[in-house]
Amino acid sequence: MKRTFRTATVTFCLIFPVLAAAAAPARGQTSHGKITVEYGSSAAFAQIAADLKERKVSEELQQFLAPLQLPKDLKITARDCGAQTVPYTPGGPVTICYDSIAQIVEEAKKIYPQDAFSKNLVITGATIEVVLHETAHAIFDILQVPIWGREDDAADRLAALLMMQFGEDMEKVTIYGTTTYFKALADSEKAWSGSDYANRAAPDAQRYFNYLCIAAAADPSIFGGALRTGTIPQFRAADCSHEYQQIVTAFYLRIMPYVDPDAMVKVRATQWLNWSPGNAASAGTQQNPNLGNAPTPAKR
Amino acid sequence: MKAIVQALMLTIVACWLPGLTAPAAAQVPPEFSNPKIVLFEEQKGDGGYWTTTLPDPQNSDSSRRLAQPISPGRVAVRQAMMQRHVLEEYVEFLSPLRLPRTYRVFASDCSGNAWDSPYYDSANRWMNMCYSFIGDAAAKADYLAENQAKMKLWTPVSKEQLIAGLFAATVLHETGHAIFDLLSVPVFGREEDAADQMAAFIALQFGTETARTIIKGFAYYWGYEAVVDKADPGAVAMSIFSPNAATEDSDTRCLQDAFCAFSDMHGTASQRMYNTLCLAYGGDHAAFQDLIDAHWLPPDRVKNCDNEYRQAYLAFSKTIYPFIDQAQMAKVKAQQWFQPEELKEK
Repeated sequence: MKRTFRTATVTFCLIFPVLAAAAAPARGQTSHGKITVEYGSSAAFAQIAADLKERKVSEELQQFLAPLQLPKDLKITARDCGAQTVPYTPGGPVTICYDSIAQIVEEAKKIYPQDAFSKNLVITGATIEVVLHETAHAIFDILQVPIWGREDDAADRLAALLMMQFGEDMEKVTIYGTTTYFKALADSEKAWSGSDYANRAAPDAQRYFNYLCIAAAADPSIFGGALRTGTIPQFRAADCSHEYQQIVTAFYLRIMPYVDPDAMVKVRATQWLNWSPGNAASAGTQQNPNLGNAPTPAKR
Repeated sequence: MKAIVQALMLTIVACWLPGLTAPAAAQVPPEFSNPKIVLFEEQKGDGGYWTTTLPDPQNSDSSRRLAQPISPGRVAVRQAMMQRHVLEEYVEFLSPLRLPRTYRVFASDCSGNAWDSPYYDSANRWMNMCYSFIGDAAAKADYLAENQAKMKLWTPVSKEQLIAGLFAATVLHETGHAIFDLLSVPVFGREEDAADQMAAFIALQFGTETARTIIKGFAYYWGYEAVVDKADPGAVAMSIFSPNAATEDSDTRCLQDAFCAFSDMHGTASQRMYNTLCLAYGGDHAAFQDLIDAHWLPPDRVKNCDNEYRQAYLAFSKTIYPFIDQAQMAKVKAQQWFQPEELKEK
């Protein structure tokens, strides 16, 4: 049965599965900032803009972000940028560039020219990554989150944490889509040298390992293969658990206080994907070393 | 040759971290003592300057499981560090920090390797300053000082300034790790970058001369690694590895692969250099305008340096500042932590 899927579901639902106890309610605020999502028209990427509108991505995004009780408005705008990204500036808005989604689509076609399912899986996962990453910058700004380390890496780590909070289907789509995309970019782009390294964004290869390391620590049953097969080398693998715990702790301290726990449960109970990557024999996902193999249940 | 190296090390270390008239005995003056920051002695009376390696009971090499005597080539380094009261001054420098847990500090021959560098151990909450680092720093300083023109350094540097700055920067980087751990600081970015930021940020709080010494030490070291050791991914030289590492070792193979090398939790050498320079300029335009004029930072990155410094300032203010005793901090800031020749631009 052909399955349909939703693209670009932006999720900033602040799930924290470790804590069974109710999180503290949002700090004493009687009113919260509004979260709005707008689509700009597009001359160059009209089909992408149309797809996002048709799939009601903005409505889903607002539902998804609903638990977040921000003290200021958060505006997310999708538009033509003339570049892959538009750096976030304090006060916003968050800008999602149609250009970056278009690049994801093009790259996914190259990776999977014949396999439509896997191609769409990469598009979905990598697009979610873009939206989570860019929204993370806004969250850091609005909540005045203290950031140690490079901010772009911080946005990646927060995005990776969130990807791991919605169950294994969402994990597979987002992590596989993201890492596959970054690997493809790294393999095809000119090698970095000299002043390339002055870029405040990390090289795609570095981002690949950052996401995979957190995923492997957060859910070894799905992504542990990356550690076992040496996809993540031992000297890094030994630190993945610490990296994951670190971002969990940081999130808990600085962002969780702004989450409405009741709204969070509702978002978590929502089925955001109406398809499962784990059921697709043709996806190639079962052979992806990043996803690893689930341990064989012990025989009783 | 060995005597020359030892003399060099003695001279270099003897010139490092000056200023305070230290008491004859290896003790921290009462006005700078902090009960939560202690010198960790291996033997009673060694003042934290161990005469051995650090035993590693889990090491696959049985010879490393027990402590080994300090390498003869590093005995002089130990003595020089003791004469300069390196550990004591470090403890004094940190005295304003109100820690909830004890932080132990010592120096040793670490794993007995010539390339060991200072590190923080979160399991034991200690900082181990490896004697061999001074030798490594001295060798790089020699090269840079002699090849300044060829390497187009943005500003001249002397061996003394380079070694002093690099050692201070490295210790401050490890101090960053210690602080993140001891104070349970939330770290959203990569911790190694965060520790670099901590080092640069602290350096920028002690005036132009101190800032330039530490920033230059750090930045030039990473520049050396990138250009001379070709440490950036895709251009890896064997010189950065143990000479005994078999090429079959998977971690070694990884670091020689242009893609896998990016798996390191540290930024690349060049990234670390640019990060440090950007933070420095963002923190003090006047003090570091010359690096901009020499085009050591691309314009696109320069645009964001003020923001990067503001971000580090905000992070420090929110997560570290509340733990600092301001009265004690004023005493520390009033001290001169480097000798004049180490602050002097060549």
